[in-house]
Amino acid sequence: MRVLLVDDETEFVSTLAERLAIRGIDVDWVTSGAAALEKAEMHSYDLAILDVKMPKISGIQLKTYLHERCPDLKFIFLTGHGSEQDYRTASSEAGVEAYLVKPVHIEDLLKKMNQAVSKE
Amino acid sequence: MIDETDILGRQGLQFFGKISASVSHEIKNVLAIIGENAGLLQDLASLAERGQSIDPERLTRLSKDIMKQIQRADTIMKHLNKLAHSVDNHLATVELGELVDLVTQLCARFTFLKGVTLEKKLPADPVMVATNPFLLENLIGLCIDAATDSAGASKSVMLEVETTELGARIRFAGLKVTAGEAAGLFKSESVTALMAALKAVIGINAEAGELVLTLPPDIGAQ
Repeated sequence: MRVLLVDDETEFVSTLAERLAIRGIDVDWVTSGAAALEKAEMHSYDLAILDVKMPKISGIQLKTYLHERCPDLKFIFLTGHGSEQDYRTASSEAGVEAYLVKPVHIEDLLKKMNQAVSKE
Repeated sequence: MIDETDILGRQGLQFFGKISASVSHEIKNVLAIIGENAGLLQDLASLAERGQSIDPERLTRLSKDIMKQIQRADTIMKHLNKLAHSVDNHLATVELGELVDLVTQLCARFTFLKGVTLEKKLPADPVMVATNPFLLENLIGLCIDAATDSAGASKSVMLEVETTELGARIRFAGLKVTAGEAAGLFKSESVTALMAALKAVIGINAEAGELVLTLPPDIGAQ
């Protein structure tokens, strides 16, 4: 499984990427929407894990751009929001199927990742 | 009928709610980083149990990263605590540079998400004003909002605190607004009520790309 991980918190995204790599997952990580689009131009991914709130290009916007370029790409959103209901409402418009609230439990994330990738 | 006190109360709650939501988001981020660092320590311990060697330097770095996040959370909470205590007195003498510094720190996440950098030029000598601290923080927060929404191509807004003959002022430079847009800013009843309560004046110079908040040295007894 090849994964693109995007979050504006460098320490968070780099550490999570290292933990996924320990579990044998091929991960690229970046800290902005613009950098994610560049990566997606150069590489092919099975799954993108996106932070919702990022400057300039939000996770929701990034999902739309990435989906245009890679229609088969699956998405998981990460959010720091306290209110899951707010997030559910906002994300339903963007057609997001899976999301996790930070702090993330790696086993929950792995489960969601496998579910997302195995979906047709 | 809604009177000025109601407007100020409602605006104050909105401001405090907005800041609290931002702070809770920041703290969530800090916890997420600490959680990942702790998880990585666990992963490394599991690898060590299976015979893989661990670089002690890696452990030291992880420990330092956790301490850095604890320090970050402590600073965020100190700022929130300071804001919370600013409602203790309706009239207090405050150092304007410190107060501007506090509000910019509390608004840092909003400005970051807008992709705008806030820079500050604080005075070498203290600029003291007798004011209502919470209402002033609220008004400065609204000015930061307006200034960052109108930031020019450099996406940088400079805040400068100065003493004047009749009090003090805060300049917000780096804006790009037309005269028409400038005229439309700060017309809400909340801003009008805050300016009246603080005896403050907001001027916008579209040509200079500047917003100026002028304050008296003393708003008198409230």
